[in-house]
Amino acid sequence: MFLTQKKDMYTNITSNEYIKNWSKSNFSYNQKTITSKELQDLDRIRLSQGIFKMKSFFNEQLKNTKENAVVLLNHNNLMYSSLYLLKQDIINHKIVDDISTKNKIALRITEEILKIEKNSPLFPSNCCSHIQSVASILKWMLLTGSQDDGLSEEFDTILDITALLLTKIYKEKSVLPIIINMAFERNRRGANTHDLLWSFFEAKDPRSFILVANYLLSEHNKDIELAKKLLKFASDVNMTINTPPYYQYLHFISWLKENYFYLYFTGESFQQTNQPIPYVVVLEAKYLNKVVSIDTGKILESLSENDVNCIYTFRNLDQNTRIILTNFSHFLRHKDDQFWTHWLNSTISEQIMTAKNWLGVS
Amino acid sequence: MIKVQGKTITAEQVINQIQFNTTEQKVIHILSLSNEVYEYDSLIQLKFELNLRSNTVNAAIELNSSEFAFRVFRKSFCNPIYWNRTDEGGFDLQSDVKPSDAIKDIYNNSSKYGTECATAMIIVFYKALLDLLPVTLFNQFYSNIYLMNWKSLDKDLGLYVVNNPTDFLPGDCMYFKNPEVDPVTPEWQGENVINLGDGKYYGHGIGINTADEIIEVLNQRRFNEATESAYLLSIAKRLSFKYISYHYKLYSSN
Repeated sequence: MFLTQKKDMYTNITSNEYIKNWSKSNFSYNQKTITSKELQDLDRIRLSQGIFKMKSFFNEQLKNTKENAVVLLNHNNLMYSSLYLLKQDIINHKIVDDISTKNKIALRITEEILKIEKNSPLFPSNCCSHIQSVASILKWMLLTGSQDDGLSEEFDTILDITALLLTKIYKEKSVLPIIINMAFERNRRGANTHDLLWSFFEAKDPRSFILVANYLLSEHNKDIELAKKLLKFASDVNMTINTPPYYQYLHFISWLKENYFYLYFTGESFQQTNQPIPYVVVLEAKYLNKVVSIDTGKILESLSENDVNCIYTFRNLDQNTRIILTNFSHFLRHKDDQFWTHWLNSTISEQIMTAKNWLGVS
Repeated sequence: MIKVQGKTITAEQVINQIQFNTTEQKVIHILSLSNEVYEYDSLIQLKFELNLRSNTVNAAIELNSSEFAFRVFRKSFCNPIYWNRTDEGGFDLQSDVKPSDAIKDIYNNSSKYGTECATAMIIVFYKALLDLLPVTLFNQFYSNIYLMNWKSLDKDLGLYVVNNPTDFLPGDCMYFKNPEVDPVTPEWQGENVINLGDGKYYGHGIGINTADEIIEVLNQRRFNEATESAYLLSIAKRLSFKYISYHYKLYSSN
């Protein structure tokens, strides 16, 4: 027990504080949340009893049965910090070959960043260089290959997957103009756009839809049709046949400007539905004028007590009233910032009454 | 809760009046025990939906036991007597064939066909309708079929999406999403399925499985070291049962 109150040599806080902080906010990794209950044994010991105890426990396991120690290391929930702290033990006990690929790569990257060993015999291949090389080679393949799109089904498949790797894995946005141009070219000649359009969606970049909006001004009907289909998620923009494309273009640009900070990426694609809605406006965020995370739709900015109360009440309103409040809030904020603050601090029934009066809604 | 002409009726009351098969009875029980109010103009309208749902389940099971193959769009194939394979990998109805014959051929000559999971769902819906509607009505109603995922949906299918439905029913089309799919195999980005009832789903390429089994298969198709699991979305795609039944009634009365 004496160890629990000792200050950690790396973080300078007691392990009790550590655990307290831990239970307050669960650790989130790639949207998967590891709760304190799911903590892996090594992490649990480290967080509750300190690094020294964790290392001795691990070495004890190694002495007894190597397999058990390896299982502990290769557990899916193991945190990088524990792996990092056990790096030397792993090397000393020559169990590098037994650890998972994930752990090997993580340790390899660790060594490269720390410049311990550029060409480590323990961890073959230079990961950091590899990551950068692959990214730039993929970009080269797509940039130069796109000029010959349509060469063959096989070649086009390679371009599709290259585009997907660049946007989905490498989060590369500079290739989006090429991807969208290829998609529209293919659409004109009736070729497959399924995966290419998906790679465009997966970039999670609402601004890139301006590239799509440009095609509303095209001379080709097929371009306009596809652009309308892709932009339909902007529900306020009238994409009906009677509205001139130029007005639709202007309307979309102004819609994007108005809603950009409140957009949440849904992940919908043409595999799922005939009318994917890749982005939705998080109404409560727009109502409060707070920026959201595009990945989670959660508000990123700090919230005052009044904000929290407003959200709570807002969520219990019907959808129509929520839309009225959101639109009015946006309108008022741009017209009179002071009055907007005053309005937001009034009761919800007062807010609704003012909004309905101004907007002429009964 | 089921309401027919504004009056609440129990599952037993419905079952006593009309003969129902097992799937239909399962649907009736879900509807009647639900907090949601399911309203119908008549028992015939209710029976139509139940029939169509049951046919959807049967059409899915039948397609699963056929030799209909899984292929990505670039490698899709079809029987050219009935369908023209387009450059994007869809199947366009040949001009000189009846839609009913073309849909039947997918089942009768299943080894001559291969495509992705979304298109398979549309095929299942068409087959379910074909088994219920008079052939002449089917051919009138669905004269321009183009099978290519959800892209060119026939408006007369009236397919619509229900977000967070109170109940998931046999015959619903649902979707398992695989957010960390290996980009090298984009066809595993998700799986469209038909809810067969009793916790089973039909997905083209995956077969008939439970939700956990489907998730396990999808998880195996994620990129190395992915951490986020595939999951079932809380949405259901449904045919416009009332719209189709209205046209069926109109056709029958002429």
